[in-house]
Amino acid sequence: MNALELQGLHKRFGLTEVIRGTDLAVRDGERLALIGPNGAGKSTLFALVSGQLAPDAGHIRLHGRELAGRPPHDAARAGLGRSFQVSNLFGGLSVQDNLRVAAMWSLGQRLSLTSVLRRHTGLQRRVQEMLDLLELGHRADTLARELSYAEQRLLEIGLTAAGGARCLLLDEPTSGMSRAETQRVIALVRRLSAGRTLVMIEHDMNVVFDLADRVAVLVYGQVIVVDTPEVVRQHPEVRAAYLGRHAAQQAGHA
Amino acid sequence: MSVRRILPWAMVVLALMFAASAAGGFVVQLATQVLVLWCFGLSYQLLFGRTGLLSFGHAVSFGLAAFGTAHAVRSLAGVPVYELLPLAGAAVGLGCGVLLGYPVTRRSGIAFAMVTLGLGELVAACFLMFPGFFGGEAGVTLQRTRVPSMLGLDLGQGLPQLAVTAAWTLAVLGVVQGLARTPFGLATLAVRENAQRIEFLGFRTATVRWVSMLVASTLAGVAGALSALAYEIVTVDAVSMHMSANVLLMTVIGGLAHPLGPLVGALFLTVMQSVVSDWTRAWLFYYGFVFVVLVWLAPEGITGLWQAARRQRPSARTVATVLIFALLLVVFVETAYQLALGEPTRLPGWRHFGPVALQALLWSSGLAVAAMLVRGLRRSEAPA
Repeated sequence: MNALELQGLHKRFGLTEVIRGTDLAVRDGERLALIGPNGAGKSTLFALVSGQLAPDAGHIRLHGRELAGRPPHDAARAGLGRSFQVSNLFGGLSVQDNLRVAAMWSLGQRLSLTSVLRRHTGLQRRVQEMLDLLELGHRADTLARELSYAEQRLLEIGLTAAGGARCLLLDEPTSGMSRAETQRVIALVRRLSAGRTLVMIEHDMNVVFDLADRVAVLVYGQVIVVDTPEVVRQHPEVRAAYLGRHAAQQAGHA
Repeated sequence: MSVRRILPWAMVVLALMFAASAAGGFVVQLATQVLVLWCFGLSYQLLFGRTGLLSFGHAVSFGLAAFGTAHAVRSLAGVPVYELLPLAGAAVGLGCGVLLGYPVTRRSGIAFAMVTLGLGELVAACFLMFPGFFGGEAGVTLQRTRVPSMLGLDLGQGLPQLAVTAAWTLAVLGVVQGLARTPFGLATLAVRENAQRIEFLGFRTATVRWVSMLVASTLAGVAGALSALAYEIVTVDAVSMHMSANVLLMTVIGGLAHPLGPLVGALFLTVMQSVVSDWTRAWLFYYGFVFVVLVWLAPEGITGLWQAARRQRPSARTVATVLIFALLLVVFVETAYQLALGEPTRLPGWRHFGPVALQALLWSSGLAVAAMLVRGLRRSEAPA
């Protein structure tokens, strides 16, 4: 069973076609890393799946439900959570309120004008769980904009997962982080992705090999290979895309 | 809303009422006006302060509700429902929110502001087209005593009328405070902070904005009804751009975040309009100047300044600078007015100055004010 299926996706900006017939099937419960050189269209692909952009053609199915061209809130309601490459938080709200907003909808606390948020035990429990997972309990009342860079990145992942989405798209969760902080993110992503489907854009190959069950390589808007990390690492086209033709040929000779 | 939370506010209102009744009819009138404006400002706080929707047409709900209430009074003559009349205003406000709010809240930011501006002008322009409803140039008058009180209050008197206004304003305050604790309340803040991100969390921002507009319009409708009942006349001014601008200025001056913000702003406006205007023709200048300076240097408004001063006491030097600046500004403005209008200002002692002395005073105070302004602005831009 596939959690997420992309079929023949196309997206053009002016004269430039960024996504050129992308096909991808993500299995339910797997952790898939999406890699590819700069400008390959990875973030555009995330924008299409999460409803930020509408594709020019093609299908996006989440658990069998068509999402192509649907707005972001529909994708979120269908069980998709996405994080952003640049932290995209509610700067003037406290950490716990950030998580509360993120979890509210899926727990049925939508636009009620009468219920009191802090009396909703399910929501309180979820927020506490997330604070524990993120190890941000001591920062619960800090405004998001006053967090350190690494803490903001953690909260960004927290917002994505707090609503209980079954499929998570993480856009470079470890970018700009130190080695120790990266380890912290890897552990967090591993725990959060248990029982869910994960698609992750990542440049740090150590993180990719550490976390991913499979790796998809996107080059010029097309997925050229999807396979286990070991196979992908040896794949000549991947080496060419990443290291240039010449290096790939040399590696082939060696 | 717990009793403990509402109590301090109730005491504020009671103190206002007590002071008003002790001082007599004029002050009762002023207190009523302050409460009506506070109520109106609370609804605007929800829209602009909480949801981030800068509306230039908030008076539409206020004004149409005031007209609606005036007509309700005429058709309900003899029916003892006086204390419930603001519900008629609320209904009209809600209607405005439903009909006008829906298209308007499809947009945010500058587009929203522009559309509300246009819509406000459109509604105000209707008053000559529908003289039956708006009463033409003269407006609609009403006699509130024609609708008897449910509680047997003598509504011909100012004080019972003030009590009804106070009760409704407190109710609106309770609603606004209560809403802040609901999922809707948090969603509005989230929309203000980051309208893009909340879409990825399942919310439709247009819907959050619309609901916010519905609530704000309904509460503005209550304020409109209170104003109609207090003044017993509603003119086109109630729906005008002028009224929309007033609620914006007043709320920003008082502070967008604190529940007392609109009260402080309303007090400030009322004191300027009714007391300072007796004393100087430049009152509107001072009002505008305070607004500009606050937006520039203390966007949290007077209540924000007060809270900041409680956290960290301003130095004696800062206080002295502000006082000297205010003094110089008053000297400059009053002298300028005196020279321009050729009539003596009411500042004590000024009438003895000759034309040369006045010119000298004008230039010296003007230059000093300009120098202090430039210096203050430079400092406010310097890295902390």
